[in-house]
Amino acid sequence: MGIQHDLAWTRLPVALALRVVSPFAAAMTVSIIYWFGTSNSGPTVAFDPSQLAYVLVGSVLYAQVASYAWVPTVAVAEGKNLAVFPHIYLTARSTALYLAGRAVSAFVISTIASAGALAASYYVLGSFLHATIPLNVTALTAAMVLFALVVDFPAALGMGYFLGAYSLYASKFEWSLPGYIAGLLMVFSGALFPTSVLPFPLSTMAHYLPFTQFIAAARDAIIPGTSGNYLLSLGLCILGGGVLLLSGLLVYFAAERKARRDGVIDRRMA
Amino acid sequence: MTARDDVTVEARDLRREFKTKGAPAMALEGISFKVKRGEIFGVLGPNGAGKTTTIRILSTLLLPTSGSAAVMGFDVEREPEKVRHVINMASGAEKAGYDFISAKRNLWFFSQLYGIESREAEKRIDDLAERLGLTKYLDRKFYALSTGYRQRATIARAFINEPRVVFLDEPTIGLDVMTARSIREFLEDEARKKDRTIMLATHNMAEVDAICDRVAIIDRGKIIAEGTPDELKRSMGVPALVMEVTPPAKGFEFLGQVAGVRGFTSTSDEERGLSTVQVVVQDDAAARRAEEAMSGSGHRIVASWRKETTLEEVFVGLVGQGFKEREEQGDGS
Repeated sequence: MGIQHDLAWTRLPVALALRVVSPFAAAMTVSIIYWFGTSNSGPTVAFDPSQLAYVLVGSVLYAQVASYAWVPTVAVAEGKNLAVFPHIYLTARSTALYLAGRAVSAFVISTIASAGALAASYYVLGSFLHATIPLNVTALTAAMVLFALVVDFPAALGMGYFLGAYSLYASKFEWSLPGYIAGLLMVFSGALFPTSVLPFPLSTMAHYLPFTQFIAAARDAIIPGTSGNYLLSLGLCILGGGVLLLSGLLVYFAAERKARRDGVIDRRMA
Repeated sequence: MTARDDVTVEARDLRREFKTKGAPAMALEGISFKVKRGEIFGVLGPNGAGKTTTIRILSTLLLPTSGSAAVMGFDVEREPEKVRHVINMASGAEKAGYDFISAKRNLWFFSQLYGIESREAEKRIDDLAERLGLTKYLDRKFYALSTGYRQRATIARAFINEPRVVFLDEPTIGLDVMTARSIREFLEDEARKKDRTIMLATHNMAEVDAICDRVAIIDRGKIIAEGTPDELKRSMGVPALVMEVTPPAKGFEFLGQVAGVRGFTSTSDEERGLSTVQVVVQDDAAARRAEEAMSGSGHRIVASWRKETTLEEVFVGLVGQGFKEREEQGDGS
């Protein structure tokens, strides 16, 4: 049911296409910008296929996280709009468990979609740019990337709870704000460029974000010759994810309690 | 079972204030009542009286500002999780459901949120659908259902977890007579045969008269009368006075000034050139004064007689004429 929900109740091919197009477009856009930039900047910056692999993996994984991290927001907003949210609220200890279930479903779909988007981008860019993009895809490296995706889940869910807490109070179309906040991840997660290029203290904060560490670990697994430490990155991701999940849950529970006091649990959104 | 165990819903001095831009609005001003097991308890009141606020507090959607309430002995403020295990609620105004899946999938979705085993859920859905006349429409997408069948599905959802107490807010609003009647029959069946407590907030006097064991009339956040429909009718004292007068008119506000008149309603029939005025009076002397006032106002009384008081007249008598003006001003919570 959660999967169907996440696929917008539509047919599987249409739903998967909907999910694949977004990360595919993100990967193609940033890759072509990179290619265009390096091709027109003279001899100082040469086109480097390993850099292409860097942005390709980063943009696809960013899109994967962004597409399911804000699912709790959508679940609350949609539920309030259809008046089902109060009834979901009445069935359980809190809606936190329901939101986690929705996020798991979205995680499964977005992971499949991201793998498809990565394969499609790899094929199209390789043909279009006549470049061999250095990605080392084996059963082991694919499993390592998948493991990194799973390890990053608590962090994304934690962010989802923060955004869901906001969504409890949002009215009209205010609920779409978390979508733009998720967009900021592209800047602060090292998806397209190293976080070290950001000004201090943003660079330090961004470096320790679990999303940054997760993307770094995935790159370590799949791009040959990277200098990172897969296990260390995963460790930092678990640590940061734990903090984010715990604080996200606390904020969500507090928001839910306050929403009950203020009478907005069953307030329609728009 | 003790007498106290028999009480399934209890409100004690329940108050709820809403913050507004001006002065805080008091939706409930200290209401207290008890509802017994297996009882259909009606909450009647004009718009903004506090009916929905009461239902929202008891179903754990809203916290009271002060006072307390318990459902099956569980405090709604301190033990909401326990309350939620034994209740369900539905509102006639909202038609909650996912549009793009069938009525059956919607019911199944909620059954899973209650942790009902899948086969058992299917059985319950089929049973509820059959009793609510929904079977033929179960596989239709929710958006494709007519208002009546959507509402039947909404009622089915409210009973999917076999709750001990069900809160219903205007469950038959906007429905045709036959659909409303079949829902009422279903509710009576659930209360009488399965011993479920049903608390019903409504405007519909006929509905309350037909199925409610007891009624609380609520106005401006206060309970102004409570009892069985028959007790409430008897409390009005004497049968209502009905007058057919000419020429037809709309305003008979002067009747409100007559001593012993508790309220009145009027309708005009231009074709017959008459207005029919029903006056709720406290005694025969008040009825005579009302007739004199009518004659003195320039209207001619063509006919007058006495009729048994209906619940609607009780309501009008208790809530009074202020109700109509408040409704027109949109003074609601």
